[in-house]
Amino acid sequence: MKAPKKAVLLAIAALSIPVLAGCTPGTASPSDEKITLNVWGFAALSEPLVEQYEAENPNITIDVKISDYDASHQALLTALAAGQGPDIGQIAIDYMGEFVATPAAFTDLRPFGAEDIEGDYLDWRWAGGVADDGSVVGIPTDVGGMAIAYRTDLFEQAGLPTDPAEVSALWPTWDDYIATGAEYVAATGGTFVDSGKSVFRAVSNQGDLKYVDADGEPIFETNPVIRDAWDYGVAAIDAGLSANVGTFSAEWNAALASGAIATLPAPAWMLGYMQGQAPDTEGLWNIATLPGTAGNDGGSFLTIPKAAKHAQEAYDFITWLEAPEQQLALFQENNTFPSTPVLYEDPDVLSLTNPFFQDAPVGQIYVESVKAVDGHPVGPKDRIIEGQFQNGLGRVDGGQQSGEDSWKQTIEDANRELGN
Amino acid sequence: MTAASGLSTPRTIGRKVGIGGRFSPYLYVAPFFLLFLAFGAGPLLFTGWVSLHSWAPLETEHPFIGLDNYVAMFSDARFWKALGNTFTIFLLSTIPGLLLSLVIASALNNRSLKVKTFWRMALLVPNITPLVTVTLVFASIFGRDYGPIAWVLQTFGLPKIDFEGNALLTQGVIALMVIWRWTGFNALIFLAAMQAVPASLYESAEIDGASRWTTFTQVTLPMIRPTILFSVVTSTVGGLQIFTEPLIFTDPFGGNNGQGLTMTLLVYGQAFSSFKFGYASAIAVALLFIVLAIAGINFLIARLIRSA
Repeated sequence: MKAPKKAVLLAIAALSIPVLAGCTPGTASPSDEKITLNVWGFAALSEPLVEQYEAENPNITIDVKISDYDASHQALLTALAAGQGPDIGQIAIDYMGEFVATPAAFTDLRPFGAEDIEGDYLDWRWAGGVADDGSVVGIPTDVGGMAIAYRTDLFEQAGLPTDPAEVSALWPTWDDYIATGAEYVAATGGTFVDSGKSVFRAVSNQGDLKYVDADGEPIFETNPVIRDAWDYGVAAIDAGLSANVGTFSAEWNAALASGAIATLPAPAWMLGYMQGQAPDTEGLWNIATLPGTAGNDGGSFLTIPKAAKHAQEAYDFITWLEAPEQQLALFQENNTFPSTPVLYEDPDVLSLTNPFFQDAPVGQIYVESVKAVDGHPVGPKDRIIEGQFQNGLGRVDGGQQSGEDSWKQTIEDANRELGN
Repeated sequence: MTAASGLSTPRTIGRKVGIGGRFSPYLYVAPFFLLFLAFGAGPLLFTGWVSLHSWAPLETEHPFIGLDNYVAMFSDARFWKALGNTFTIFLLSTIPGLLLSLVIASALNNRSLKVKTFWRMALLVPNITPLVTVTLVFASIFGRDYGPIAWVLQTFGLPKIDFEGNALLTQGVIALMVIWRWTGFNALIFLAAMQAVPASLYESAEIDGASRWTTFTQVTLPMIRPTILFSVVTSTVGGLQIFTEPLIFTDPFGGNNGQGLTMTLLVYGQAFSSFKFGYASAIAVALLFIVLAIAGINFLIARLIRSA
């Protein structure tokens, strides 16, 4: 019986080698499994970049589900609350405060090596994706920067200069901006800016503190940045500058096309939106610097929920997508402004112009505005508080309340939202 | 089943009913009740349970706080505003809506009406149009700067009307959307009830020399009273839960000053915007009791009218 036993042993040994080899961790060939990464977001991912990644990684398919801004965050919230979720969730900066407050719902990215790439990103933007316990919840995508898009044809009619350098010199401060606006209204009878809220938003993002301090305590009632932002918003409304249209509403789109908006505080990502909504105004816009230069509005994070099935592959994809080279490609494609400071010295970025806006040097302008930003701490209730301020200025814009009364009600409402 | 005892036992009519037969009615309705338990009663009880906690959706711990949510709710100005708005919209939409349905139904109750089916289908079209689409179209019709009404006002040199800025106007437009949607549906229900009124009653009314109006109020209306009550109750239940129209016509907060804030919109905002599931559940439970109370009042009034 020895011979057959030996043969059996040899057979087993022969069979087990490939099996054991397959079982060794790390040696499994990456092109074996077909993996689909589910991405949920509110802003479409760049098609060329997705295709490029899929070509370089043939076993990975990327399935993107884009919903409306609020709807996508609610869908993500409900999925996370149920212990489920996609592989990658895109969360806007306005919503990030509340999501990052519960890091347990997300996969900590530090074990994957997130701390090694921290230095690639703007520190104040990176900090928004780090939870209180130190875990890295999200990788930044773009930042907004801030500038003023203005209509050269309407400025000409009002007797104002049209050259970007001269226009930027018109308003080094917000007082000058409002004064210029008053001049415009007196000369043409039209409206200068889309809403008081728009002015408020631009000014409120310029300080190093906003609604909460570094410890997370609410300071909106006493923060001079917020009070100034409010006062400028009210001043713009009282001087007749405001067209009183809500951003992204149907009336706002119509106002863009019809010329009821002569200037628009615009972050970089809004330029693409304007091109889409008012294509007939091509060549009539140009871009000047924001009063006070520094500014930022918007941006988002890519996060990996706890329940993600393919966390490693998801991490590889999002770090690839937000690496400086890809962010440069995105910027060139649709003016999504990069959050990686190394690109701010890059000649490709600095020399970028936008033909829709009369070849305005968008690269240079937005680099200047982002470089001047210090960044401010973001709290979990910031979006709710912002909503109250926007409602408050909306009431003033609609003539329902005076600036002072509306301020009092806004503070009351904001405190009530916080307290309950 | 023998008659040996001398007492008259009622004979079962038809075939003998065995054990299985006794239970079969319950088996027939069981599927509905099982589904109701799973998707209706279960979530209802869970909502009540959640309302007793401080429940942030992403947190793993949800501390029990008893009735604190309810106490906070009663002192919350937004709750009372939402309640007031909901009732205003409800009254503005239900009363004219049902009256209009009655008028339309009686107009269609004419036996010599041509192309009856076309009229009846036309009545249903508003009801089957997607709600979001309807709201978007109404929002653009009643837009402040651009839209048919704004255009008409401009042509006559009249000042612009900001429908979203004024509480009563906002609620009026929302009520108009509800009327537009449900009038046809209710009219069809009334029409069906009217067609079931025996012709002999109308004939005798005619013989007695009753006018059209008297016939309508003394013959038709009393005969369709149960249907009217049904429509009032369903309109109440629906009207107190208006959600999509204010959400899209104003915004998730109900507008700058909460002019379009309804109860359901407040529940939605507290749950998905403020991440306070416990508080939102408390408001939802309060809404349940309010709807039950109103339905109960409807029922009592109906009993009083019937016995009068």
